[in-house]
Amino acid sequence: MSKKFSNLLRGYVIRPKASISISGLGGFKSFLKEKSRTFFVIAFLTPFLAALTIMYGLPCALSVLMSFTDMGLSFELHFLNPLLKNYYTIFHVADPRVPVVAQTTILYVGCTLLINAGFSLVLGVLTAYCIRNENVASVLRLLWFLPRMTPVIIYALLWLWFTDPTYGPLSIVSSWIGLKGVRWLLDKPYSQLLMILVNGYIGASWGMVIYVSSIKTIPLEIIYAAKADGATDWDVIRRIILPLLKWPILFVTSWQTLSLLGSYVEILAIWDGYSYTSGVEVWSLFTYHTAFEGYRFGYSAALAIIMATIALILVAIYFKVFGFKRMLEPSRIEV
Amino acid sequence: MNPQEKKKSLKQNILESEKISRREAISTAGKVAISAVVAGVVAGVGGYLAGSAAAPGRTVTTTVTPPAKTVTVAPTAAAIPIRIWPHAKGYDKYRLENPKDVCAILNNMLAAMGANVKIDFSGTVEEAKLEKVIAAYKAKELPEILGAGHEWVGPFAEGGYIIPIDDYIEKYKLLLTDWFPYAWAWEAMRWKGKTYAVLQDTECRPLYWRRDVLKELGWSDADLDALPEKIRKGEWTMEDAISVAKEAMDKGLVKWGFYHRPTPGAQPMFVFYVQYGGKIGDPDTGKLIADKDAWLKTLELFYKLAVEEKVMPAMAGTSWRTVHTDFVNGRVLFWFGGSWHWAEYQHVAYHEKLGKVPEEWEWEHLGFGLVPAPTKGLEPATNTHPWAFMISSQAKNPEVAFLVAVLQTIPTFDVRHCIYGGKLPSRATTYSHPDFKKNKFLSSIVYMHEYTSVLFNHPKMPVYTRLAFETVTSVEKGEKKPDKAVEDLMSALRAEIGEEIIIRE
Amino acid sequence: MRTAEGYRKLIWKAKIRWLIGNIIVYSIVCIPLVPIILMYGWLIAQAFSGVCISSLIPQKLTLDNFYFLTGPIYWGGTPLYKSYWPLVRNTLLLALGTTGLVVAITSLAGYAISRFEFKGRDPLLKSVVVVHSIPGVLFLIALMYVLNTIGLYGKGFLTLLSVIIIKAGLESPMYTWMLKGFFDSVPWELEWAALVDGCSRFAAWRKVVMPLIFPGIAAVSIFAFLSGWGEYLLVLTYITDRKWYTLSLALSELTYQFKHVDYGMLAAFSLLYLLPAMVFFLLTQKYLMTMRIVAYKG
Repeated sequence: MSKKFSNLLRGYVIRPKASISISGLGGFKSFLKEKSRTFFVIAFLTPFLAALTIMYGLPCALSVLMSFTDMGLSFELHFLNPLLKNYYTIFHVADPRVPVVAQTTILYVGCTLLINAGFSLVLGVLTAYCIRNENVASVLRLLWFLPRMTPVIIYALLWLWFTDPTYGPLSIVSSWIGLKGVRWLLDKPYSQLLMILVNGYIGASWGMVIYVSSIKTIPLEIIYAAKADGATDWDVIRRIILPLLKWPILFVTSWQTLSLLGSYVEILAIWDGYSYTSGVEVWSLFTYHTAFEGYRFGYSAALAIIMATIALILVAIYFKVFGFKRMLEPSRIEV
Repeated sequence: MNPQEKKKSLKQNILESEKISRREAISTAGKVAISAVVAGVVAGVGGYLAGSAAAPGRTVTTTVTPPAKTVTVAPTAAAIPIRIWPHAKGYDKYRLENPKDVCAILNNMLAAMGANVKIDFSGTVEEAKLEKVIAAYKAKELPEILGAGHEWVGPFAEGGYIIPIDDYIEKYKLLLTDWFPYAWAWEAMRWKGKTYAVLQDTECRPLYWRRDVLKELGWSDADLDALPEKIRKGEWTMEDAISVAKEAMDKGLVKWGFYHRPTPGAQPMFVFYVQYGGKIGDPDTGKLIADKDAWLKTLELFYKLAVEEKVMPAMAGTSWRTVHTDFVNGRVLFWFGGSWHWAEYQHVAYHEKLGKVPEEWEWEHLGFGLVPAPTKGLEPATNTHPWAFMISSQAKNPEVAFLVAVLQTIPTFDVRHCIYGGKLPSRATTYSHPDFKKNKFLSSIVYMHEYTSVLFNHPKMPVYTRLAFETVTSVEKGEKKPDKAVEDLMSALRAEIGEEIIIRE
Repeated sequence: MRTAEGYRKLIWKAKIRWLIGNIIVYSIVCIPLVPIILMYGWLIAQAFSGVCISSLIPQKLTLDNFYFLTGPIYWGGTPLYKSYWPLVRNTLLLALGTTGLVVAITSLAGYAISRFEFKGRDPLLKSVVVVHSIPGVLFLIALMYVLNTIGLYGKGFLTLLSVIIIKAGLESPMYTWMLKGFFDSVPWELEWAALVDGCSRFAAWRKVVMPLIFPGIAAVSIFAFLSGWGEYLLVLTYITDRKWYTLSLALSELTYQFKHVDYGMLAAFSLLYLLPAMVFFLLTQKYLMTMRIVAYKG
């Protein structure tokens, strides 16, 4: 491929004819080109747009509608008398669980984000750059990816074994460090710490892969040049790699925030039935319980819409702070 | 490069580029054609599906007592479809086999009568889960008979997925005279005063204990054999159990005195609640009930077990594997288990040395009885979770479906299911069936049905169960004292169930 | 002017610094891995044990837990599945179908967004992030409505196909965003050169740009494959024909209410469930590592 390229490039320099022949037919061809360009854009974007409208737009509209009703098991849309009644219930704290759930969610998202966006950055840099042996690095990356690859049921079973009060390694180790008798699944704040760790293991690998791919696209010449100028590894990381990762860092942070706000399946699988007393009931889980245990689909739709709104506000803040406009510009890795 | 070569390479480049462009043009055209074909296929598929969704050949029945509707399948004989989702997995396979055999017999009868109609039976081992039922209902493909736990009668009826069958029960009452003689059996099939389901099987939740551990405490064989009767008469109560457990733990014979289920469920919280006089639901209004006083006493009992006497750990968070392994290996004295665990220990290798334990081992090492009364003066009790066969609102022929559901519970079929699945029967006459009498374990727990209770049929029952479990857990942890916990439980119930629950003092 | 001794000291210092650096790096990466290794070690030990074990040491070593490879899968005494292999086939179909569809949709869309200025570009990009803020709980019910209205319930293979389409659709925005970034990093000049020489845009996209973003495609395909391989909720709700069940459904049936759970077989089953995902990950990781952007080398 590259040989052809160099030929083409060379040909371009000494061959003006080609460009003339294209513009030769003048207006008609450029009109066609314009049309074909639009056709091209539309053709390329159609599957994506279809996915967006059908998979996202429709459910959203439906859920907004549902949140104005008291839809129950019969799945009929009976609109409520004050249309926003569900929202009043939530905001006037008529449900005593809502504030606790909100607090838990803030704690959960904030702390797990440190792992998902922060520690994964460390992992990415270390495995992509510091560990020179590619085989070792890929094995380590595979191990870090294991939690994400495991089906949730199995993952939950494994953690239940790990935290078992009698045989679990966690209990054994915690009795060594003086935390004997701590019930990791039941006692706050240990259960909350566990919740953060459980989800952190899954989230770290995602960010790690993004960072690793981005780091691998950095041309080696720059690093060689820096090294030749006497930079240490730490300098290279600090001055070259990290600045070039600005966009991936923003992306991973904002994306993981949204993912964490909506994640609940692991917590559901492990803390099935006693999530509230253990202090690990996050907003999504609460919505799930309301919908699929209490069959109040209208109320749960309202809960979900509120969370979506908060997520949107967070996204807007992120972009204001990091500059969304810059991200839209073409080439991100300026060499 | 000299000019000659330059010209040549130039020409080559032009040719090459033209070749590329021509080739690319053809391949682009090819790609456009392919995408057009794909789009056409997708459109065709979509059209077909949209068409089949509104297929005219489908007859949809939503009336309650219609005349027999037949769907023409073969040119000669009319066929009545009976589809079933009974949850016949594992040891419950007779939930599918029984209706199948009933339909075969009915078909033979019809053929002998020269009738020009057949029953077309088709069933899977699936259970009728809510999401599947909703999806099937929307696609107008809900099977005739839905098998699920009785707690689903409320949600399904509320959503309009099943129909009341009181008329059929009246019509065929001679087939039902030997039905279970206990009121709760029919209550569990009702919702807001109407019956929606046929009882398929029952089980119960005894208290298991380790005979070998009690022997080491000095109990004789005679004592052990007399224990279930003493519990039944109310002479041996939970207080006695607690002191025995404490003794065993102090002597180091067991790790813990009591274990109960680590996930939300009916036993033992609702068993104690009922023993203390609490009511779970009101059949007249169809609402749930929470008796604050009874819950307070229940929570105080749990507090005593877990925090004061320390004979029971906070069970939430212990895995089922640990629970069963600890009990089977003799590290726990009392276990609030279920009657199906007797068979489970024979089939799953929990014992560290023996693996799967044989039945003789169980008779020697395990004992069982009702859950003792909390204190003297109260009754022993247990809990049952009956299985219901419901007739769906989209059944093509509800009456025939009802007949199939009823006929598959006559003793010949009933006993097959009970023996194989370790369940208790739905008919009183099954008790006297010779095969049933041969099964020692089932025969010895049948008496428990006199003392049992069921959870109430209400869509919000799962929420009630979960909240109760959470409150019990917070008390077991020592996090809350019973009086604070019961206040929190009441307010949580009020918040999550709202007006569907009556809270009494 | 340094002496030989001084040089030796310098080398020593450098060596120690290198060693400490390596120790720090490896401990940061490996110490948090200890719980993972323990847990999966237990899984492996249980898969080869004849009894239910609680420690890491397998007891009653046996290969019997892998019986499902050659015979029906039993649960509670009766066969639940006649054979293991249709389950694998269905799951592979779901995973590979999702991957293929996702790569097709997102590479097309990512390229268009990255290269063209069109009217809806800003909102489209923003929408990618916006839709991700919608919690997953919402979709279950709403999609049930949609699928049932289209009439895709209970149609065997077609339902599986529609699950593939749903999954691909749900995951496309995120991967489009990711690929857009990769497309951005390919300099425009390369395509321009190809276009000027008479390549159609489509060909330029296919032959020039796509090979250069192979790491991106590899990353997207890893995630898409894994999400398809582990899909549970959608399959549970829509696939009614036992012929088209996937491995995740089988797993959930085997742990139903934790009755009659054969822990050994469950562990063996899970191990084999993990294996293809791990293999796929290892294969595509190679691409992530070895591809360099050729054009930069001039």
